[in-house]
Amino acid sequence: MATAEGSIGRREGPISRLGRRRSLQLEAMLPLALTALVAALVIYPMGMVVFGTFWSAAPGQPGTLTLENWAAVLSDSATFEVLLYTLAIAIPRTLLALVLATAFAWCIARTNAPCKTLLEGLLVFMFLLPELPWVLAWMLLGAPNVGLLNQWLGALVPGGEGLINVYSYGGLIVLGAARSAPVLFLFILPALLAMDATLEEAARMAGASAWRTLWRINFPLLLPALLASGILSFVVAMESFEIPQLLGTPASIFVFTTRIYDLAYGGHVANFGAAMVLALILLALTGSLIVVQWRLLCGRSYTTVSGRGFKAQPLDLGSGRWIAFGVIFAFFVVFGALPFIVLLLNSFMELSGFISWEMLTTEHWRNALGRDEVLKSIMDTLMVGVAAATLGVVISVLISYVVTRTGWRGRKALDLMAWGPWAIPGLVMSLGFLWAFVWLPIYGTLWVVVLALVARGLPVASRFFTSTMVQLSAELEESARIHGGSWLRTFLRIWLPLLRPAVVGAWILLFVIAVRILDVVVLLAGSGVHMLSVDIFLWTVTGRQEAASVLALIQTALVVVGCVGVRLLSHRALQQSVH
Amino acid sequence: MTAIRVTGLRKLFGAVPAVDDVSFEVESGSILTLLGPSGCGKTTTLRMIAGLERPDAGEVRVGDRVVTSAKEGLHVPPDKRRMGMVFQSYAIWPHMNVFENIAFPLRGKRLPAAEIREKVMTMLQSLGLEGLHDRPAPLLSGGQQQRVALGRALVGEPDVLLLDEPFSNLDARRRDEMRFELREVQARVGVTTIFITHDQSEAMILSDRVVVMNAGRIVQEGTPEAIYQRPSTQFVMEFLGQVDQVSARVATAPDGSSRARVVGVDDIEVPLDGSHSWRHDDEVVLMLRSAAVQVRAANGAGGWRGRVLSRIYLGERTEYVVGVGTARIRAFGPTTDLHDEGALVQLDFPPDAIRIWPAARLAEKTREE
Repeated sequence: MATAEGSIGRREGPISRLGRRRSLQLEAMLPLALTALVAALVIYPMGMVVFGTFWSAAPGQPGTLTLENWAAVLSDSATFEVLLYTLAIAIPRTLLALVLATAFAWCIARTNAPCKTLLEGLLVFMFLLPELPWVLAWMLLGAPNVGLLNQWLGALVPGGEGLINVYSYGGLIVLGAARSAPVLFLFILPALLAMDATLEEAARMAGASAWRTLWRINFPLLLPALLASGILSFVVAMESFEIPQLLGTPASIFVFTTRIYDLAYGGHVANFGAAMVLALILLALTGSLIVVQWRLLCGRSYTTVSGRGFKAQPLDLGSGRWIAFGVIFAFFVVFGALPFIVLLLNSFMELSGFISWEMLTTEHWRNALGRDEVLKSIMDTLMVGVAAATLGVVISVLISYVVTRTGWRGRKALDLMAWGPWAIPGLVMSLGFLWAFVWLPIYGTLWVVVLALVARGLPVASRFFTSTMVQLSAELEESARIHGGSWLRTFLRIWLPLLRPAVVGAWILLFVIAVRILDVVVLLAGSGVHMLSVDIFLWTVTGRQEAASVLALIQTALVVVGCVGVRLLSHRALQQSVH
Repeated sequence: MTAIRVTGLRKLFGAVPAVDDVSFEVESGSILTLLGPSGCGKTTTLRMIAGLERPDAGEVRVGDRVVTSAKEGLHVPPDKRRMGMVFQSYAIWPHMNVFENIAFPLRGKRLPAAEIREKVMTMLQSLGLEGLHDRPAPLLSGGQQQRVALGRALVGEPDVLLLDEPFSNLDARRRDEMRFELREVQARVGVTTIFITHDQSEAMILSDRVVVMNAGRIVQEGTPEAIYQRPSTQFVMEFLGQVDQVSARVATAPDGSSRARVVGVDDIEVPLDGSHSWRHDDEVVLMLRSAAVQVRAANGAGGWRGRVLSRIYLGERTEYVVGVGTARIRAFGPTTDLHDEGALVQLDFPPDAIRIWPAARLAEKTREE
């Protein structure tokens, strides 16, 4: 609350004895100021992406306007290869994740599978675990021949050590699906729970078997939700950076994101122009898909007279209930617990990739924690996280207020802009901010990173507050105004206290996103600023895997602590965030 | 012939019985109504008959077939019970049009397409839904949804029709229309029907027999007339229509018979029947059915006389609140010949409009027993 006060005070000057007149101005100024700020965070960097496609040099370098970049990219057959590979990985990844997530959600929402609360909790927990350490762990587990899984399999069956290779199409698809499934699960579960159970019961009474009911009634009713969440998951798969960069690039599998990164920062001569053109194409793809997805969600008209809301009788799976439990639990063990346990054990081994008692050592931890750059990385990450979460919450609360509680004419546009970053791939956002701020003095400081993360968090946090605010009666505010409260006082004394649970939940969520995200900050953190995620990534690709593991575990710990906080404070928060 | 026999049905929600020891029989081709306030267990009872819930105890028989038996762990799934059901929300499938909604039970039976089409069209016609067959379900009005739901429940020619408060989502006019329509359709098809409602007038219009439920148990069972005229408890009497309560005390008349004397008015006495063992000076409650009480100008002494406390003009008739002693009694009169506030009036009613119960404290005790 103190921060919100500070920010309003800063923008509009202190409230003096002329408070009445000033707050009137404030009320009128706020939407405009807010719109300008959000435009600077969303529209301006994306505009610079467009500009970058026509610039002959790297960002901030002298150059000329040119069409060369477009000509080069569009005439290069590699461009279409990249598009093809991106789709060839994203489509099966999404379908596999969709099947898994629907099956899991079904078991938990509609059957008598045992320990459903535990299973749901485990899947939510998997969704929160950071991606980068997870990928690091899979590099240890699934490397061809020498990976730990291959070592164990080789000990079990002759020739088993050749079975698993994460540096492959199969690896990218399976591991990607394993990351997407818990997210999709969180989208599909509420849709399943919200489905009117009497529609099913009516089918049973009309003589349909359980299977026919499933196929003829449940599936068509669920289709809009499946399609909408499937598209979102497909977009996330196309935007994915960590998995294809660390697992695909070594096998010469390039997708949009990794190709962009390679062009801008790879081993070749940097070709920023080409990178920008690819980034814009990717942005156009994801953007149009998000628009389709939005339409689908808005156009859902399956509302009927609601009954008294009898809870559906759970489907009796018989002894199959334990199989359902076993499958979901095994999914958690293999794709949730195992990677982090292995990462933890590995950080205490002399030689990465071999786990045994004789190699036990605390050397890597002592090394890492004794180094100034590691401590700086932790400190910077915490500072960025706190700043991004605080600023993000303040801006989002104000956006939600203007969108839901005022009649301001531009509120639809503001809402749309705040929603925009859903459609912007993290790496493209990173490029946009690079172009947008490279010539400003804040470039190279924590502030550019903070601003990028604020932009990334806008859709998450403002959805959060909007859904809370529409549930609160406007009369609460009107009554405060009638009884002599100024606009500012009403906002601070009525709205903020009412929103406190959402504020706390959103703050922690934004903090967690800031700590774990890589793609948004990968081009922004570098010389001056150290972010844990970027350091883990850079150290891994430069062969300092032991130290990277230690950092990855610290990052995981920060995220888990934050998430336990979210879990305790607000369950809804988790269901509305995707990245 | 008995078409449905329910025996000792019981359902626990947690440790609380939502339905407790419910038994009744339905004659073939008749309509039985489960009547009671919300939360009385009537819907749960219906859902157990439908097979949508499993009872913790008891048995349901349809004809000579046991479909649910808690003791034997027998539970025929709902789709194998040959029943049709209209849900309170109608549960019209929003992704199908009217035709597909009604054809659903027939498609499950793998009938030839031509036969399905003919049956559905006949059904649409008999429900007055001609021409709506290709209308998407979300575009139907409440009354149309209700007809589609009824058509879907009947098209498969079920042994039993279950109706779960089918009129509660309709406006008053449509409700009146549909009640009579339903009665007609049911009589024509001759299907054994169990109907659920919390509206006593609906129960009166539609039922051959009524089962009144409260707090999970059956309170009274009988024909609509019997239940209305001879309610077995205060609850049933109050539930079936507007009732006013008058406190009284038991007095012994010179001839030795017991009478109830209205508190505060010495000259009003009501003879007591032998349904309870009355003791001198016991407190009792007189319950008076307002609908049967007429107001006229007072002439002569004695009887139920009081002063008009307020008057409401209802158009077709006039409602009065009349103070008799300390009691306030609602009564009706014609719209001509009005009585002003404060006027002395006489209340007339047939003897069966009044019933006498032991006062609350005693009544609770008897209920516990």
